Order: sequence, then C-alpha cells, then structure tokens
Amino acid sequence: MTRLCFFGNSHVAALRSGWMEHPGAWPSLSAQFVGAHKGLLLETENKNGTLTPTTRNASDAFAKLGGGTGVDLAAFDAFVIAGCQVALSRVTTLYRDLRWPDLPSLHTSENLAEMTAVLGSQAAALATLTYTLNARLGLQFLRHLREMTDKPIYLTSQPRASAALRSMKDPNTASHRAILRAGDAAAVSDLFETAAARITADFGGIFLPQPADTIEDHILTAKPFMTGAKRLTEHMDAAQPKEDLRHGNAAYGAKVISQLAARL
Amino acid sequence: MRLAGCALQDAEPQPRTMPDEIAHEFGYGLYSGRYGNIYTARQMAELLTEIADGDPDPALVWENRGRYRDALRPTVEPSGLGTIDEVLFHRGYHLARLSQMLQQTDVFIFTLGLTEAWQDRPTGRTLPLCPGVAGGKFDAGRHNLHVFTHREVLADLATIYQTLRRFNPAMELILTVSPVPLTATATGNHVMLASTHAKATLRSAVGDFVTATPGTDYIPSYEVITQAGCGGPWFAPNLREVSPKGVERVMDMVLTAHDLLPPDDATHSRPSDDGEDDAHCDEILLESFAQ
Repeated sequence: MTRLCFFGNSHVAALRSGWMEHPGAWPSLSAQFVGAHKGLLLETENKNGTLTPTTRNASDAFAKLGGGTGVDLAAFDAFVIAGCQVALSRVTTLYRDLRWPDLPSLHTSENLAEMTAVLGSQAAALATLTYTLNARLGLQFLRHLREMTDKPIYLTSQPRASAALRSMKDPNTASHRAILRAGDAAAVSDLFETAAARITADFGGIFLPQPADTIEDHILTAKPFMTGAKRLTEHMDAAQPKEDLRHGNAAYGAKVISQLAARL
Repeated sequence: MRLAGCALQDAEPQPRTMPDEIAHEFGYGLYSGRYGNIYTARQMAELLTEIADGDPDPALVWENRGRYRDALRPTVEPSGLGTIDEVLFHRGYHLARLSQMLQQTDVFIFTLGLTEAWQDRPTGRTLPLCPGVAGGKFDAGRHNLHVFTHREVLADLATIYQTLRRFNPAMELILTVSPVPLTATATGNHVMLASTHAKATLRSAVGDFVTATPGTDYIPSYEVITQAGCGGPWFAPNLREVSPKGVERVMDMVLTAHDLLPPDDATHSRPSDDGEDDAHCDEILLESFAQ
C-alpha cells in the first residue's frame, strides 16, 4: 500500500472527486487530500515532523479541507501537489508578445518583421517561462515541502483550459484561439511541458504531465473532463460556475490518479 | 528620456512577461534593438549598411562546442543557438526590424566608445569583441586589430549619417562620446595612454563632424562626467562606471537643453540605476579574461 498525500488549491478538488467517485479503483493506494485556497499552503511550518499551519486562515483551511490540525509527514510515502497556478496559460500569455523558432507559424509567415509580437530565441522563451513558473504557488510549495521531507514529491499542473473556449469570444482566451489558428499549439504545449519538468526537477520534484487522453489539440482539455467540476469546499457539494474553463472534474481527477499510480 | 515623454524607438521590445534580469541577459531593453554593444563608428556604419543593403552572412557565425553565435552581437544569446540557420534567421529578423524602426525615427543618438577593434579579414566586418571572448576562436591569420584614426572616424560618421538619411531623409543625428575609460587595450600601450588616445580621437572627430554637418548635434556628456569644471569627475569608486549622480547631471542637462523637462522638474529628474547597464558591457568579459 502506497500512502499518498495530495496538496492543492482549488484544483485538488478534481482529484478528490475522482477518488471519491471511484472507490476501490486504486487498491494499492491510500490517500489524504489537503486543500487550501490562495497561498495558504505556504503559511505552514515543519513542527516536529508535522506540516502545521502558522496562521489562523491556514488553520481554518486545514481544518475544513482535509488537513486537520496538521499533516504528519512520516505517515506518507509520497506527496502530490495539484494545480497551484502551474498552468499552460503562462505560455499563452507569453505568446501574446513573444514568438520563438519552434513555432510553425513563424516559418510560413511572409514578413516576420510585421508581426506585433517580437521574435526571440527558444532559450529566451524557456527562461522567461521558467522564471514565471518559479514564482507560482506550486513551485514555491514544492521548495517549502522539500525542506521538510526527502520523500518523492509529484507536481501535476492545472488542466489545460476547456475546449469550450473554442466557441467563445472573450478576450481572456483569445491567445488560445490565436495559437490554434496559427497551428502553434503543439509547440506551445512542448514549451510548457519542458519548462515545468525542468524547474520541478530543479527543486527535487517530479513533474506529471497532463494525462494525454484528456488533452485536445495540445492546449485544451476535452470537455468531458471539465464539465461538472466541483469547487474545493468542505463537503465538495458545490459546482464550479457554468462559465468556468479552468477546473477539471472527477473524470479528470481519476485520470491523474491513474497516471500517478502507474508512475509509483 | 522615456520619463520625459520621448517616444523612444525599440525595434525588439522586451516582452511584457519577460522579467528584467532575463531581458537584459538576452539583450532586450538596453538599446533601441538587440544590437549587443556597438563600440566603434565603423561597426555602426557597417551595421547600417547591412540593414540597408545586406543579408546575414554565414561567415559571421561562430561555433563553439555545438552552439552558434552571431559574431556581430555574440552576447545577446547567452548560450548561443542550435544551428547556423537559426542564427541567420534571428539576424535577418533583427535587420528587418531595425529597418522598420529607422524609417520611423526622427532623431538617432549614437555614443562612440572605442577606436580599436578586431576585424574579420574575409568579410571585412568589424567585430564588437575579440574572437574567443564570448564565442568564436581567435585566428591570427583571419583576425586583425585595427585602431581607427581621426580621419577614419570622420569618414565613418559621414557614412552613418548618409545611411541613416536613406531611411528617413529628415533624420537628425546626435552624437556623444562615452566617458567610460578603456579597461584593456590590445595595442601594447598602457591602457591609460590608449584610453586617452581613443577618447581624444573620438571627441575630436565628433567635434569636427558636428561643426561641419547640419542636422547633427553633440551632447557633452563626456565633459560633464570627466571634467572638474562640471563638478566631476562623476565616476563610481571603481573609477570606471559613471555614478548615478553623474548620469542624473547629464540627463538634466540634455532634457533641459531640449525643453523636455518642465521647469519645476529641472532639478528633480529620476536618478538612474547604479551601474546596472554597465553589467552588460562586453569589457567586463575582457576583464575576466585578463584575470
């Protein structure tokens, strides 16, 4: 039996839902899910081997969302950090004003100098993305946790945005549509996976890419894995708003757990 | 100048999500394009000619341990690039963006720093750094040291001006001479003699050129920083970097002279960063080689 502790922000809800909705699906695993919104996972310290909240808000979150009064680190064989702002959308934001040579659209453009975005090297894009990810909660918490334990720590990103955005017109997801139109989605996905794996390894973690069968066109999550996602609440009884494009559902969570089980 | 409302051109602007420290490593945000450093009038003249008429030359790509660098700006990619074609691809883009920018430029400001440079005999191009310092390999049969004379600098300034006016016939040229002394010389002279010689040559050539050429001007930053009569010298304790106070005095002078500062702000311009730009000067690389 491998004892797992899952940490995360709102995205840990998908994994918790998946676990709850598929009892017995992973007989070799036991799991505890510890959620905390915003940066509350960082408001903790190692007190005699127990990850203990140091603020009232963190204590409240732990008490309501699976952490109790603290997490006994010795009680687990491995840890998983879910979501926590490690998202492919960091690349889609970068794409707004930087292009790098791996993007196929660059090589079909008739006049690169006319592009609004600037051409940079692959290394510049990777360095920028790595720097950006480094500041995200997932990597910060990985470093924090790594100081407290030498057991394996897995990091799984937020799901890619829902494929539902294809038919939307809102400016927040315009970069996704531009990337798809340009035929650059595979290269965008590659850059994210490379940067996330590299920086996770730099801090002693193991990056778990999004399960391939949940991905659509490289940068989207297929709708069956997003529809009906739950919010991270004490009783997991509230749904994400209908317009939510960022959170996975129980089916998504189950895929991630299965992928993890195969890696252990 | 940005704070004063000048519309500074930038052919290759720093992407918004790129942090400053990475941007500077990759040559963004320092000048009006990712030039690397341009120290000599000849280098600038050749670059402008390349922008106007040339194509990237594969002979000017340096290889070191499987990585490739643009010999004309070897420091803008800290780890080099993967192939010769990639270097040429980036250089082609660099030239095209600079061409666009120059066509929209009203005033071009250029600071002359050095008179000595290494040249590449087969291509005839002037290099910003000695091969081997930041890529490439020195080959005495291929690379030669050249110390530009007053006459050569004057001719190069004329080429610069004429070429700029091919992009915009009304473009004006403002020149300055860098007060930063040389930290090394390949001439065999003492570095202080070489430094004085270089600065005297540049200052004299710029003076003669501006006097004789309408549509040009000179910003006396060299004098403000180096001369006691201007309250200087305004150097940092290492006697090389210009102090923030010195930069502030120069900018006050420039902005006031060009009516770019409201009178109330004339004595309150923002202090510059202390030597941040200098960390990107190629001469630091040379220093490390001298150790």
